[in-house]
Amino acid sequence: MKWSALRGFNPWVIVFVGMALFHLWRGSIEDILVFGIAALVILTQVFGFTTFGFKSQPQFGIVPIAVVVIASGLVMFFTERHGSWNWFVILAYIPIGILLLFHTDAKSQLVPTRQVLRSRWIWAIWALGFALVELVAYLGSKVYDDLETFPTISVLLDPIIDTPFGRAVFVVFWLVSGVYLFGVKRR
Amino acid sequence: MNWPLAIISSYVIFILIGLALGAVGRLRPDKLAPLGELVENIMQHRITRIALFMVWWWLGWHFMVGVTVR
Repeated sequence: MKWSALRGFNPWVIVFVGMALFHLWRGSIEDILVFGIAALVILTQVFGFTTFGFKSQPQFGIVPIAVVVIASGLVMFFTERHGSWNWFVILAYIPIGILLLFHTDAKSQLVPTRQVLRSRWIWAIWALGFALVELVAYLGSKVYDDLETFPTISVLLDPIIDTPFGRAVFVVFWLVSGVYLFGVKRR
Repeated sequence: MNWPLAIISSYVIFILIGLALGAVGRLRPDKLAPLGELVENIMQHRITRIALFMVWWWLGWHFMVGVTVR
């Protein structure tokens, strides 16, 4: 066990272990599974149990990426929401994610500039603030059993995504952000 | 206290702050790193890659497959 890994402690560990425990308290089986498994995978990384992986990120051309993204988008838009086709598409992204992200970290890494460090902190505080508002709404909705007075993001977005326009916007946003984060060069 | 107004306004304010931060990164990269540079930097670490992927994947699952509202 490499305890020295704790020296460069990654805050995502706390986020995921915390989320897994939170969903355990909520009693949401599927969210416990998703965040619990993710927390375990992340912990195996922290303690150095799984250091294997591709030497670098596999590169794909724009055509195969576009085919996968457009096909997914069409299925997610035209088939029943919460239906088996959406289930199939979303699950198919797990092996794709493993393929794209499970490469080992480069030996020499970019040293973050002052601007990057500042940006990291500001975005982390922003995310924390956003999560705090969501938490207040969630706790309020549970304590008073009132989703209208304490609307969470899910409550607000659910009826919007049920409309064709809302669903199109969500699907495009989800797929484009996925390509931006995991699939292609960003600069 | 008008809770719905306070909560929804807070969401909107945070979204606007996010857009403003993105714009500052693009317009003043000497002050704040653009989002692309930030993502490039943090994605060097496998833990962060896994974490970001799971957050992204869960959003798709939560809104398109799983139970969105209980």
